[in-house]
Amino acid sequence: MQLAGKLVNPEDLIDLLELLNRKGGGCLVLSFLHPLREIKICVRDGKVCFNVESDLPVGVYLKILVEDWYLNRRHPVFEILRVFDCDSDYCVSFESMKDIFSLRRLRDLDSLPREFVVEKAGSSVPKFLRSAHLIGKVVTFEDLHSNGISLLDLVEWIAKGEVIIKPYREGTFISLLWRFAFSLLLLLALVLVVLPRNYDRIAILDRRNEILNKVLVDKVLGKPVDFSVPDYSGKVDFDGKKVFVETRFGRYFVGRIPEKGYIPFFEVPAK
Amino acid sequence: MKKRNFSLTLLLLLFSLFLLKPAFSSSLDGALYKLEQDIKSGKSSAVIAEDIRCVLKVKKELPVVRVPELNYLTAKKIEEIPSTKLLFLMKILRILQPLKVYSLCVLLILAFFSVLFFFQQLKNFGYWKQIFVAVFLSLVVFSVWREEFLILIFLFGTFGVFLASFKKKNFTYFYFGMFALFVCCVTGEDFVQSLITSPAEEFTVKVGRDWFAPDYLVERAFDGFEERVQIEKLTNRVSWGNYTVVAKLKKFLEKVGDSEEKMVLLNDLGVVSFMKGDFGKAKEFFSKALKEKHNPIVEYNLFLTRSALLDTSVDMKHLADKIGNVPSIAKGIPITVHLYPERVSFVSVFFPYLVSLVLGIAFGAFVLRISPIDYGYFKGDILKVPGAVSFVNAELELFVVLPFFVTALNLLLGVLMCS
Repeated sequence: MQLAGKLVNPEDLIDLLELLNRKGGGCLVLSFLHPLREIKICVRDGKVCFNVESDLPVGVYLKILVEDWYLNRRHPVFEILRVFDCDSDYCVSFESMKDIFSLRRLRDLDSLPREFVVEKAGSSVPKFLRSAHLIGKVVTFEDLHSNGISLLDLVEWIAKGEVIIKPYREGTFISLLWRFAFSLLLLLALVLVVLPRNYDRIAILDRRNEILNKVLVDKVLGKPVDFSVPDYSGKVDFDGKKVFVETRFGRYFVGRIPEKGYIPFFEVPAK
Repeated sequence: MKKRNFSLTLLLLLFSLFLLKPAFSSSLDGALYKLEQDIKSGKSSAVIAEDIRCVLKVKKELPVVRVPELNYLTAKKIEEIPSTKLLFLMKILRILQPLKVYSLCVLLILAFFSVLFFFQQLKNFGYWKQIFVAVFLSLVVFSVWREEFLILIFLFGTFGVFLASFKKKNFTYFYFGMFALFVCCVTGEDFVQSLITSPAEEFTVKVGRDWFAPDYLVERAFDGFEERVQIEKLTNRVSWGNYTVVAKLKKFLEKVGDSEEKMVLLNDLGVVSFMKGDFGKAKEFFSKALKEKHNPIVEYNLFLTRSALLDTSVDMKHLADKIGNVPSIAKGIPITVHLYPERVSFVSVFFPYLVSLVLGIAFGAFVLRISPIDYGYFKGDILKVPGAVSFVNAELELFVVLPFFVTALNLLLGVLMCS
């Protein structure tokens, strides 16, 4: 039987791999959406092997993947494979694997600003950070990841004092104000959908010919047109030629009253 | 003594007949006009009752099924008015509403995230990205507010392409499924509304129910076809028993070239001749009408005339079955034939929506092609927008359940406030 499902936390993967190890070993494919990424993980005899398609070193790639998983609250899908098929050069012990996927370490990322300026970059750190320091570039998490730099490594460099960063708050795609404005627009659209304007329009349409017939009766009998919509909360508004109805949701055009040709017969089917 | 008594009885009978004889107008339009004038001038209820009786009496002798004006003028239920297909059309409109609201809501939410994620992936656009998102979303809100479904379908087509570019298969299938449903609902609703409000349909329903239509409705239904307007008006007058139109019928007969119109006019002349008791002339007109164009009603009228001329070979029952559901068939009088206007076609309603859909998808594909996009790139702060995490992880639950609640709330409010 093939097993598949969704993982919420990176630590769930540890439990899954432990289970596979206890059962004598196995392989699984972990898939992330947006962007689509897949890694194959095999476990046997307390050893975990990873198979990825990337130009980056597998260790760095894994760190970046887990950071992305944690920070962007992704829920990857796993599928346990029937066959044990894993040809990978990158294998680690079970304990090292736990270290990679441990939430304890990942929580250190919460304190990092999402956008920052590099104030100091030692000679041992990657070239990207050094040049960012030199030109004063604003660096984002995404910049680091696309340049193959793990955030966990950055945390380590900061702890060692090799890198000093300063938060940079401007330039986010969606600031609080925009977020509020966009969400408000969606909410407004949904409120407009919730309002029963559609049923209100249908109710008037349902009574359309009855209203027109009543206006015509008043015209035929020479009475002033003044009545409410039959069995409905709406007021008929007649400007001499056109008939409108005002309800709590809007003003609807009901129809045009003929100037002639309505005496003595005027009725049109109402239902 | 006996002879005297008989003469007295006869005199009394004639006198009472004279006294009781109501002031029947000879035609239905005349009788109804009198009723309207009497109500207008505030005549006594006895006079009004007599007028009503007169209308009903005249109607009995004519190929007119009912006079609903009696109900409106007197605010009483004098005529039994059956429901028409308008009732069925209204039911369809009501059934379409929850489907339309649900699909619209799904599309709104998915389109919102598609726009948001698409534009934040653009490289080197700075604040323009936010401006683009704001413009697109404002357009969506405006279209929902004004119920501009052509614009909305265009936008949903564009956003559908954006969504498809994210390669979230389940979202893409769900979105386009809902898009198809939305287009069907909007087109269906528009078509049904066009039917309900179209003069051509109103005319057809009215004639089908009462076998005549008011003049203004004839003018609206045959707008642009002056000859047909005149012929239909004359036919209605024949139906109302107003036989002063014979000269006009004959004049028109010389003018028209269309065989259907000729058939209608000849049948009208036949009906008038029959009602005046000139069965020989009626037979001649009906025969000519049948030669112009075959029509089961005219055939029925011809055989009815032959029957009146004591031709026993006529199987009237068989003929009555053949012409089907003509309401005044039971009266044993000839029936008028009506012309019918061109009705609203589904294609003419659907076509603009189809164009909008195709243009929307094409525009989306164009934008996608020219835009410098970093696929899969997104900044973490976008996840703070409610629902964004579900979108990133392609979790459908939120996008299935939330629209359901919106639809239920809309329906509930509709029942409570607009029933």
